[in-house]
Amino acid sequence: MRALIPALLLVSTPAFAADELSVSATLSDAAVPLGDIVTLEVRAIARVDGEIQLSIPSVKGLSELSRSQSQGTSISWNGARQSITREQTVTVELQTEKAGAIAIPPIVARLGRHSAKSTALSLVVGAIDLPENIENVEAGKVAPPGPGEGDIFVRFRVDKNEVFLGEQVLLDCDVFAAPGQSLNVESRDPPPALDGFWQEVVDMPQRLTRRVETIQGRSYHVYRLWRIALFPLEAGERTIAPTSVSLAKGRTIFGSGRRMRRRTLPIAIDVKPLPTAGRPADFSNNNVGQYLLSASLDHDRVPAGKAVLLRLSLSGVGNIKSARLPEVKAIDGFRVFPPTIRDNTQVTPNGLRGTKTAEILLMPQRGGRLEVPSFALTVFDPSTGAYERRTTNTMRVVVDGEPSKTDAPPVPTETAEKKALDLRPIRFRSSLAKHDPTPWRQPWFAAAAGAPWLLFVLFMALKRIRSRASQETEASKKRAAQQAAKSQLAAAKEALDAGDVASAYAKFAEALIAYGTNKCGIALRGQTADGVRNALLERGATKELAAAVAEELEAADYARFAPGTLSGSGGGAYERWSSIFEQLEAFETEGES
Amino acid sequence: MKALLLVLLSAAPAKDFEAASERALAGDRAAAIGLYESLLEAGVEHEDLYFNLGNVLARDGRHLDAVIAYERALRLAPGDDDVRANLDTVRAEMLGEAAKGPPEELGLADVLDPLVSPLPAAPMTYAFLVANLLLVLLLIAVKKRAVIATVAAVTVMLGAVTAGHAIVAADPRGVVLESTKLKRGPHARYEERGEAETGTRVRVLEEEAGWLRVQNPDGTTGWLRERRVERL
Repeated sequence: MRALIPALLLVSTPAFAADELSVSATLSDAAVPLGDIVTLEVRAIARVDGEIQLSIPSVKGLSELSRSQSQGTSISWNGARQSITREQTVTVELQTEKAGAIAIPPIVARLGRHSAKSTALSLVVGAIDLPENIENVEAGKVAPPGPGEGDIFVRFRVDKNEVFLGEQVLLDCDVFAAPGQSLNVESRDPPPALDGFWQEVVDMPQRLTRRVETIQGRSYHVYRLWRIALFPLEAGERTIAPTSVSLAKGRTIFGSGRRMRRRTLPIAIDVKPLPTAGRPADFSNNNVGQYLLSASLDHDRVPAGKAVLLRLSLSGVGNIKSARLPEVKAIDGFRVFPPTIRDNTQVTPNGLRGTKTAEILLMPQRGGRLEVPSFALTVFDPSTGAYERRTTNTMRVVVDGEPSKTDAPPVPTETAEKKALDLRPIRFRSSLAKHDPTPWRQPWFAAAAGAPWLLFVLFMALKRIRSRASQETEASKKRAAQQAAKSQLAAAKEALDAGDVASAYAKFAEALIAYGTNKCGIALRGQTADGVRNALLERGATKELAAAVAEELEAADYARFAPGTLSGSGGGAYERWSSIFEQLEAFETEGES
Repeated sequence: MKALLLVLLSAAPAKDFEAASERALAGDRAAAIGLYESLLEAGVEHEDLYFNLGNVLARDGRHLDAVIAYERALRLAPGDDDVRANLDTVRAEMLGEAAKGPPEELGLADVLDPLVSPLPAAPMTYAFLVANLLLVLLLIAVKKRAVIATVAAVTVMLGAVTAGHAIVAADPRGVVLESTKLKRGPHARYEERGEAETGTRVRVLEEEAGWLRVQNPDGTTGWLRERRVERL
């Protein structure tokens, strides 16, 4: 029974052979310019199960760029009968490589013992001729599209056709498209490596920007693919070989559009040697560009033992990486250390520019005013076509102190290490003397800051004490004067009682003068009677008191110098004297209050 | 006599310093670093020593060590422009744009630092002491108010500078040794709240059980392990 089923199938297969396998082939374009890419789509359908084999032959004049394949199976039921359909599609991208008519033979599909053929296809590839007079294209311009290039073409462009050896020339690769073309750049070769040039990519935009140019009266949208800066290394006529770009036109989300590949035209650059006339002996071929030379010192005054950093810079437009700076071997008064060279190249859409700097450590060898001389460098400026001398200014450094010459270490023979960091130089000498940066943390600081104020407080206190002491002495003087006056008055009374009137008056006068002087502050000694009276009146005493005091002192004088002139025995004198003292006491009390 | 003794004692370190500088200039960084570090081990502490060591370490690619050396030099000489410039350069090399960072949250020390750092601390302090003494003597002996007012103003100014230096010097600083996440509390179980980058100067606000609460230059605070910070 098992052997019977295949036998039945074999018998029944011829009945369906006509529709069991079919194949068709289509070409995206029937005629294209040379270099364009065409798409060949082959579709095979089988109504039996199995693997479809498609045989796509290679065709002379077309090269296969890519191939993709898709397949699917569908099953349907018609009543109790099952129907299987298999479909396979192969898409091949073909690059046209030669002009003329190209025939694509039928494509054969096989499935088991079934086979089918497509119809043959044909393609007409148009030739692209070079535009005329491409040699005469001016700098900055491009040749118009040649026959067969159509609306889209690619060109090299240079900003100068003639350059000096070492001079910067900018090479662009641009795509030109007539307005209305929806253009996509699928791939672009990187800028080619060119013999005889040192080159640097200065612009290779990820997103193309569009500008409009007019060529032979027709407007084009122009897209720059890349720009490189070239620096010729050899003199002579140099030709830049063409490069290719893959483009797609009319691409949408529904389709890949029409793909094409375009080549640039070759371009020539005439590299002139540098002139020999006026060429200095010390000129280096690397110094071609619009350069300026400058020099600076990081300090114009340093203490002995500290180095200064000399920066010698060459800056401007040109191949700054290969430029050479003046050599600084020896400077009078300094030890010169090997330079550290750095370059800072700025890649701008307008080419290369930048700065090359030599940092040279100079260690002063003596104190005082030292001079850093001017430096000179010859450059060839291609914009003027002449050699030009660039010089720097003379600079001065004041070195405080006198570096010890005997201690000066030998000049290092090794090259100083490359500086990755822009650091200020080390200090060669230092006393390393201990100094306390935080004197306020010292225990003596508070004492030193507070002591003057403590002294001030003590001084003020002492002043007040002395003042008080002085005031107390005055009072005590008064008290003492009062006591003395009382005792002398008592002695005067005793003398009076003893009948010695003269002595009594003398004691009374002494007591009164002392009391008046010490207690009341009135100098009574040596005064006339009028003087005593006036003095007392000036101090505010009553006329009666002033008169009584003057009278009693006058009487005392009489008693002392002419005792006989006194009348009586001094009876009632003590009472008068006591009264005078009481009045003086009262007067004084009133005066103080 | 005492001064002579001090000069004799300090002569040897100065020679070693010169020898180290010579090695540094000749490109023998290992020898230079060894000499500078031996001076530090011998107890010599000077801003020039830390500055040179920082330079050689930076050239040797040891940027973190260089930052610490520069920071220590700044502690000794807050107004040293060279130290500040090189510290900024090395820190920028380490941290890139992050070195510039967002605007700092200013503490009192941050405000005072740029004001007082150009004025040398010790001389200003000694000048303050002299002015202070002079003011007291004038108060005692001279009655001219204008003179006293002038000297009083100078004394107050010098005193303010001294106080500013004292505040800045007392600012507890450290350098982060290794980039680490900051925690909300002094334990690993706390959640993270920012990050401290290697080489960043931080202010140490608090310490507890092997953890430090630090403040980043951008003002964020958090805890990290003490071993991740080199105290200055």
